[in-house]
Amino acid sequence: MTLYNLLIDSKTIAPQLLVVLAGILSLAAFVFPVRWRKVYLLIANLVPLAAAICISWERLSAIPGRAFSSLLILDGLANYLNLFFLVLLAGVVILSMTYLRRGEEMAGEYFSLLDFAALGLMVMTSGLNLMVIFVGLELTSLALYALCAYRRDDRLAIESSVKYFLLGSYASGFFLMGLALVFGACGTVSIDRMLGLLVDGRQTLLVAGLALLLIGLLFKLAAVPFHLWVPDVYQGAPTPVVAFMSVGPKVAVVAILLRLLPIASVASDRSLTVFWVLTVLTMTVANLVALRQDDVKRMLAYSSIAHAGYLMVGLTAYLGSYYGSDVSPEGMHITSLLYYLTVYLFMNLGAFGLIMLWEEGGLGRKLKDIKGLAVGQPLQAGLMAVILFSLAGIPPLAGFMGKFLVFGATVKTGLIYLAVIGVLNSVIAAFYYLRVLVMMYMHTDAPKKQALVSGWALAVVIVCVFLIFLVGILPGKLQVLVSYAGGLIG
Amino acid sequence: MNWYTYTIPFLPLTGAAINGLIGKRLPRPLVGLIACAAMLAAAIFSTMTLFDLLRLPVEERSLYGELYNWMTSGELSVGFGFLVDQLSVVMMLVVSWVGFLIHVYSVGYMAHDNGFARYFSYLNLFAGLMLILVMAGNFPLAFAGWEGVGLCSYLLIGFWHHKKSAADAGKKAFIVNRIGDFGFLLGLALLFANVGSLDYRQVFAAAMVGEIDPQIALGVSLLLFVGAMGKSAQLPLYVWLPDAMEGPTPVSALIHAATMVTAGVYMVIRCRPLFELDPTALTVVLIVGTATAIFAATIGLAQRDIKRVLAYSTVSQLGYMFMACGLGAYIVALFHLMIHAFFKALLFLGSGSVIHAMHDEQDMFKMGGLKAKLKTTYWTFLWGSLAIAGIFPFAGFFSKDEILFKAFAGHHYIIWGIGAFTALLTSFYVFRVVFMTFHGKHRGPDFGKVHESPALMTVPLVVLAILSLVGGWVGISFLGEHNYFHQFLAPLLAGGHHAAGGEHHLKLEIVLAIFSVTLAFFGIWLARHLVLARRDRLELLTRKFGPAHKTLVGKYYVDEIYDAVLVRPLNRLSKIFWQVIDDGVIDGLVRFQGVWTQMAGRLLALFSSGQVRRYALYFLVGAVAVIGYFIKG
Repeated sequence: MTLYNLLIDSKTIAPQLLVVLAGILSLAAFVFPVRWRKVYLLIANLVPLAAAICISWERLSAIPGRAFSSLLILDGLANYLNLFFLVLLAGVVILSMTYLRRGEEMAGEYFSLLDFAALGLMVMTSGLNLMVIFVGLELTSLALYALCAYRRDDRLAIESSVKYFLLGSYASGFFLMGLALVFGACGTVSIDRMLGLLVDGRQTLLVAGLALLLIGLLFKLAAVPFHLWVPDVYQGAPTPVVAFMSVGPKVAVVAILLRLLPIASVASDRSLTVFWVLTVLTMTVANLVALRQDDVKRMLAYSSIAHAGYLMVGLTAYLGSYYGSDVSPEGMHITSLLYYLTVYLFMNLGAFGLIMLWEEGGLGRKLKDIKGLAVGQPLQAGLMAVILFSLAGIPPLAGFMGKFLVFGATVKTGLIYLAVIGVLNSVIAAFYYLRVLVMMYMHTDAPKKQALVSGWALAVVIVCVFLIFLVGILPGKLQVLVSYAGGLIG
Repeated sequence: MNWYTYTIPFLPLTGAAINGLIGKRLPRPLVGLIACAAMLAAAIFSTMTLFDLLRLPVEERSLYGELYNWMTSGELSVGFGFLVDQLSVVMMLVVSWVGFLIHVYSVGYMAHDNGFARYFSYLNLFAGLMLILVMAGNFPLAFAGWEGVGLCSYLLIGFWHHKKSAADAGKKAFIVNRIGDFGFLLGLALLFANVGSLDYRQVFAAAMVGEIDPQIALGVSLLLFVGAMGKSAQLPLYVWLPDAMEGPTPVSALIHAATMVTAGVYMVIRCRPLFELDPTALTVVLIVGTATAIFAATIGLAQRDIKRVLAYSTVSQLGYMFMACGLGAYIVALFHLMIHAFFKALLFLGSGSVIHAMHDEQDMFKMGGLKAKLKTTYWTFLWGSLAIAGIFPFAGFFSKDEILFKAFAGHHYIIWGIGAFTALLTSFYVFRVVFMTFHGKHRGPDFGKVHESPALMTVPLVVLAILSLVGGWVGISFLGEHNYFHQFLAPLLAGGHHAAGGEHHLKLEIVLAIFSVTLAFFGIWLARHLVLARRDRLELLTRKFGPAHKTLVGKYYVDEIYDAVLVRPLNRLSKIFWQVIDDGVIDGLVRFQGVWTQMAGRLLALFSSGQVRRYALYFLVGAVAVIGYFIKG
């Protein structure tokens, strides 16, 4: 590869490079006096991010291209998700401005780690080579392990970080082992070349390798039974980071699975069963356990597992479309999944943003702490109400359209029972979401402690709520956007 | 389509939003100003749209514009699109201009009401949704408007919701309309299932080239007509309209006389390609319309409440419009719709002025002699009455006369006979109101306190009175050539059914006109004779035909019959469903679900012990299971 080619390829990953730039600039924050750091970090992060968002927006409908000898693919899916991660990152950066409001906490490392975590996600979604995907996976994971323990004096934060690290490395081991076996079976780790080699379907080595890969990925997606770390880690980690990791890695894994599942469908006819069972387990277990939580943050952790389950419903349907005789257009599955992901981003960013305000203000996040919040802080209670209604999937909010599209695609693929179980799970879920509403609204006395009121975080939450309404009432616009990604995969 | 055409429905909606959200904090004059200005702007833009249409060549007078893609689901794709053609522009003009006048009137009428801002918010909301209904380019959007105006009607009938009768009337209107709306919705479903589109242009184009099975078209038309029967208060779903008079009088004028109740007529005219595919559909429309016309007119003869007489009159006049539709004379139906909007709005507003002057007294038996005190109200009311009675040269003459003429020319002699007889009843009952209210001696107390309404209320009356006179002149067709109104609408609405015209018919038309004017005068004379000159004879008649009179006063006991046959059995049935099935079976099941899910949750929560070793173990078990299943055998 000549230097010239390298430069050309670098242009194709301009958004990623801008994120790297933001990460490096953030590290330089320590040269500024404490009171200037906030402004500096805001500029150093948001300006490159804004540029990257603009570039990615322009590329949404671009023709698929490859870079670095097909190590990276920049198709509609990758382009859309790059934009997605940039928006997520920008949202989390702004939330963090509230979280790190005390001057001494406002260190560049935090933002730098966030930026690199996002970079890892972008690498994962664009990776066409399992090795590259692994690098992205580890980049994100390592950054997140460190971020979880950002408040070093907090016992829960340390616990969160250590648990995440231990179990994360464990899962990475599975992924790496799978990688080795797949390489042994195919002689390549490039996804598109593997597809070409798969003529003879039943190779035990390959199947075992794929199974290990899937397990590694399902850990990141927080599928049952690989989910137990989630509540403990979310509970202790800084809330903006939780907002980030409850969305980012899952979405990246969805993208990888969208690329891998066609291979799995050829390699073994049992993939669908495995996915079906794990999906049902994930939804059901998460929703049932969420019923027992009295901590809103833990409840949202289980809720995020449940939502991973709904995402898996979409993935299972996508997988099923490769088995079915009457193959429904696969674009439908991808677009419905991307639609759901996007909605999920708004909902989680908003929900964790509000939880952060409650925690940081000293209000607490137990159900009993927020009794009567609607009296004391009607704005925050109202915003949370909208988000919870959307999470529960009540029309006309975006959460409803998301579920509607995913379950609709599932029914069209013929997996009717799966859709029915999914809908039944939504019913269970409504209970624990609405219980928070009952706490906030059905008590006449305002809580003694107050939630924090901070412009940064509230701005993010309000934008999210606005988008939840907008996307729910006018689903067409977002459908057009995600259809680029759905139509231009590969 | 020009930009201002798009804004027409959104102007009143914006007014509604402003007054609804912050109206309470605004000074009253500003609230009124916002509401009226929104309507005036909509009216002006509608007029400009009319001129836009007139500038186009005759065959291109149909504009379609889409704001955005409203929804897409499978084959169904619905745009938020407006279709402006001759039909919708007439409706837009009626809705916006009459609406504007009634808004102005309301500023005076509601001046002392506590819910001033709420009232105007609802009224503007209504106008906006009504404009969406008539401008919609597809069925779903029209249905959104259709449901929306129903909601506003409910809100405004029950505007004084602390009064039980008003709250009940609102509910009744809403529920009866649900029945109709359900038919409408079924019609849309049937249409979509068979045609695959709900866009007006596509559906009607398919109907015209015969792509729709006449049987299906018949089903769709009849279901749509059920919707129209509900909204336009036709037999047997008319019962809500008289009760709707519980709302403020300007509401009765706007919603329950001039605009909303004519939506059904509009819908039938709009869907004429479907109705024409099978002759049965139009026959049903004709029969229902005619029956309603005479049925409601007879009830109107014996009511004491001034607004109820007008309400039954509205039902009867709507019957005339459907009669015209059933005859295939859509232009005439639309013409009568427009004229009726003028004179019936006028009559309602006039009655409102009387009620205002009499301090909320609606019983005509306690009125009389008001002519001396309420000069403007009297004269304008008289003009309106002459118009509805069909006296030449008032507007009602032209429209009603043309309907009867179409019936006669189409050899529907029985229909014509009923129509003519109803015309006689009409002139009788309306002049009964005039004579009882304005002439003779005052029968109530406090004649001294009666005062004429403020200019805000009388000016709209005068404008509407003038329209009730000259409004019909656009429809003069005596000179052999077709009139302006007809010329404007003919390219759209004149189908194969239009065969009238020519020398022979001109003579016939004049003869019939003279006959019906004579009938109208006879009705007036009869009213004067019985109410003013020889009251004893009226009493004699009442006694002689006691049972018949009682039946009329009791409105044929339809409400009571519905109550006994439908409402009470339904109530009993729902009580069973509620107490046994819902409370017992379903709630029991739900509670059981709650119990076991909580139990399962408690059990599963045991897994999250907080110990990493355990977590890793469960992980491993899961992994082994997955891999084992994959590679086994």
